[in-house]
Amino acid sequence: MLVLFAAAIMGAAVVAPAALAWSQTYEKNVVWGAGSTKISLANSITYNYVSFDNFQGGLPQMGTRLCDSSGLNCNDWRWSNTGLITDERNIAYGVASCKANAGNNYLVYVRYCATGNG
Amino acid sequence: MDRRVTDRRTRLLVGAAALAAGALLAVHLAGHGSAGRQPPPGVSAGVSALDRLPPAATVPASVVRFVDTVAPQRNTDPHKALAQIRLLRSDLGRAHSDLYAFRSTAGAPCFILVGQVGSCAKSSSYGSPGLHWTIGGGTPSVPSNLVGIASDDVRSVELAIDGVSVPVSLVNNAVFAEYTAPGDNAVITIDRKDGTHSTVQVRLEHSEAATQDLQTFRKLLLERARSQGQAQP
Repeated sequence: MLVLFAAAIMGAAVVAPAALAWSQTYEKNVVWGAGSTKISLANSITYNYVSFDNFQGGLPQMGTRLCDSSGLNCNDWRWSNTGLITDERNIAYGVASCKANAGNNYLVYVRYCATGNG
Repeated sequence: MDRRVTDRRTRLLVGAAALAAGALLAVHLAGHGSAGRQPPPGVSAGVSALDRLPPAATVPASVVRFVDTVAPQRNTDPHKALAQIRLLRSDLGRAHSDLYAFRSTAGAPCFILVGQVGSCAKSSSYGSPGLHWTIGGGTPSVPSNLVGIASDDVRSVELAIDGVSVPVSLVNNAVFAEYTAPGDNAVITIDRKDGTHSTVQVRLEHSEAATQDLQTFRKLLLERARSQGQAQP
């Protein structure tokens, strides 16, 4: 447990890319069931990182996507089970989201969801 | 009389030995044949394109940022990673995107499809057997896609969106498929050279997620409005 906590702290510490103009870690160190999701503050966005672990086994999937500031117009989710994905799409002004896939059969440990620009 | 008994015993012993040998062989084949064998985990069977192809001389700024961000999280020196990064595919799909990859200290292929998606597993043995994948994405002008890194023991990858087959290319260990029709369910089939295969099912959540996200978004806006109201004198 201590190791997991230490790893989580390290993960949160190294998330921010260098020389960025704005960034926000909008979720970190939580356990999510299938379908859980979170969104960031609105801003100009050029990346969205999602880092996660299968701490109870299986290969849970997580996704990322961007929406405009109204939340009405979103692009499609990008899914993976590799444990670290980055959404390289961008939006002039909007919000980033991360989500545990609704079809997951295992809980997922979300190290962080972090977005920004620069 | 004694000799006939001896011959019969000999034949019985030989027959029993043959049966035992056959049974042992059958057990051996079941353990190593395609029916009972577990595939190598993740892409641990190797990604030879990361050795075979020459390192990329120059890379876009977004690739540098990707390496600088993910390499330290995988205990990998970003300078060494950048020096060893390979261009595995170029001019992919409608966006004409290039796919770069490097190998982390733990042996995982970390890859980025420029302008679309990046991924970096914690080890080569993590993830679906034979394929580190991402699926979905897209913009109003760029279709969704499947992109990933397959191990050397993979012969081909198949993709079906809502049951409709989508052509998938596999070159230099890099898998790519683009699909224009949005769907709700994807099935990725990984075919190995030994005749075995694995499948991965993904709920794309194309149609069902918008309403849920909108509810979440409205809830967040409401919470922020309340907290700002409380903060004011």
